[in-house]
Amino acid sequence: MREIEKDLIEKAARGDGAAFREIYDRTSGYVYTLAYRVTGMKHDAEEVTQDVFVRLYRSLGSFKFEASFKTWLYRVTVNSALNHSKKWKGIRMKERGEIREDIEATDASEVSKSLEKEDAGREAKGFLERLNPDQRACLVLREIEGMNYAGIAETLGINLNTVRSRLKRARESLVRMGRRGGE
Amino acid sequence: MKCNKVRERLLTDYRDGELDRRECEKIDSHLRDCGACKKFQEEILKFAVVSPEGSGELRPGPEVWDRIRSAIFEEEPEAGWLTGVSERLRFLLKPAPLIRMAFAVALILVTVVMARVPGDMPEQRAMSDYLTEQAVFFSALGSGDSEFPDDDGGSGDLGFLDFV
Repeated sequence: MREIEKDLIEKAARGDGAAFREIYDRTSGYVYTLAYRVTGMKHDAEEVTQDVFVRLYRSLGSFKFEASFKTWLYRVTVNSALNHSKKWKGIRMKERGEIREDIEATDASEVSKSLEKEDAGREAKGFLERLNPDQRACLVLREIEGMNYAGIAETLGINLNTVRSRLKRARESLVRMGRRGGE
Repeated sequence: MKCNKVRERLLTDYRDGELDRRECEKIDSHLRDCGACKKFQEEILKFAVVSPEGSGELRPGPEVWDRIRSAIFEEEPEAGWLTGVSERLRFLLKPAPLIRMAFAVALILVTVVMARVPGDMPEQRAMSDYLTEQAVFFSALGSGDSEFPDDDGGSGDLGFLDFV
């Protein structure tokens, strides 16, 4: 993503809808892709994108240009995606549990088929989304976005040793999953 | 350097280029002599690789912008000059009930006074009828039971203002 010009941001901050639309057109792919990589779900990535741009619109007036716009957008997107993942992870696990209970009450063989199908689907999507959201975010920022540890620490608002330990745990998990052949 | 220390570095700083050259050389030296750590490094390179779905940039669907636009712009309706004019006209054309009632009472009083004035000129009677009619009309307006009647007998409510 190219940096957004100060003039365009200032125009959008003054309520120029066309300027805001231009910022959206130029940055939404970047925001959506990053959100998708952190959440692992297209629907979640859309919600995060929506949340980020609504927040952006409301914050434009107070944007101080101390940090680059790109860095700011990065931070807001990753943190919004992380919050979203953590919030929905609990709800989905609960729903999954309820569905499991419902099916168990009727037909046990159907349950195992359903869960196997679900697991196969997850496996096809890769191991990345099985990691916890904090570890996944670190790994995405490092491996896909190419950030160094200092950049990851700044983006996520954590210290360098936390970055290091999250990457270590994430990769250990991936190695373990790989050894078990996706168990 | 001990194996657990080497493995920790292999998972983090060594892999990510965060170590200085001297530290890297120590690890390279250990890997040449330790088969287990070398195997662990190969496993990292094989399994701990992130391959995102689709290598390029993805694009959100058009409905995402629609939802953003709704969330942002529909909560802040634009106050155009026409909206302001219509608001003022609305105030003038639909006065508060108290004002309407006061005006109706004043008209009734004028009618009564006119009726008591001696003489029976046609102009006076016409004026008296007109004022009575107006008093009845404004009373009805004050109670909220009536709208502006138009020539076609339909409602003369100035509905066009709603579209401004």
